[in-house]
Amino acid sequence: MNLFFYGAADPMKQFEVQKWFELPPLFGYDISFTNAAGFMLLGVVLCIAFFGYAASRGKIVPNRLQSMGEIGYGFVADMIRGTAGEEGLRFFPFVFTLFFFILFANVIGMSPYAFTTTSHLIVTGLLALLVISIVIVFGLWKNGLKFFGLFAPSLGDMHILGKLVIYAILIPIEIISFIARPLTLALRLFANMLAGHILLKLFAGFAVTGITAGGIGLLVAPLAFGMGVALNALEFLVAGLQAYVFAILTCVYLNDALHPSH
Amino acid sequence: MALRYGAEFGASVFVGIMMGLGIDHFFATEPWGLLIMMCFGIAAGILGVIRAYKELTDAANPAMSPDKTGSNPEE
Repeated sequence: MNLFFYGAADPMKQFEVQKWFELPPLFGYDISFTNAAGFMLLGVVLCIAFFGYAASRGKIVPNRLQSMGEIGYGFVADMIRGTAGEEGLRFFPFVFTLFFFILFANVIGMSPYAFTTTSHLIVTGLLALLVISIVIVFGLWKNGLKFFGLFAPSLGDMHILGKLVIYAILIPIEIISFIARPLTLALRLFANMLAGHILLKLFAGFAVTGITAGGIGLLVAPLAFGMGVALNALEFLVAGLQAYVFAILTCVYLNDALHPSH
Repeated sequence: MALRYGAEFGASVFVGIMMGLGIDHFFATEPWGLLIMMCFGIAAGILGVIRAYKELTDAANPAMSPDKTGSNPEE
């Protein structure tokens, strides 16, 4: 009895990657279909189904799903216009996909027994690497070597010696903060989802063990349960907010690739 | 949001330390590469926190930042 509840209350168990079915290795890599792959696929399928349905019957007076789709479209478009300008709209498909992929992954992770794909650093890290590669490749393609002006902001009129001294300090700082960008982008989403889901599981576990332990546990259990309910609401906020933060930072970085001199 | 600033600062210091260790490893300049690059990393972290704050306030009310509305062709 005790063992069962301790097993259920282990807060890290929800992050375990399990194989759903085995696949033959490809080039020596294990490519078995795991729960992480499964829930990512579920998110993509739900996304396609939602927008496929929302866009299928373009009525002048939209029904609920269609207006939800339209609000989503307008939200992302406004976000890009606000940070990267009209030119940034050429990246609309990328930012839109990124935002809704993360949002769906986060919200699916909130349902019981689901696996949160964004709580794994490998997933968020790959997304951040994708963003930063696009920034570098597009920046170099569009601006050529002027893209490296990103690391040396213009100083205006100044003595050449003074410029040299300031650049000697400023350029390493700018390079470090540029390299730190994909790291923070990945780390933030990962840490938020991981911490939130551990907390949820911990408070839910307190409630269960409090009831089974009896005595003073019966006093603790309702408090822990109430806390769990409150945290659940907070986690829904975090799920949406982190998808938004990831998307808006992508826009800010794309803005650097579009207009490198600041 | 506190996590955001923490991640910003920590990642910059981490990158600085890693670069310093790399420089020391390849040029045998122990410990100067680590010391100097860590200082740069901390400076970059502080800059990153300031920028993160600015980005978020700009995103919350775009009317406050006229230079990023996109209608400015010379940018």
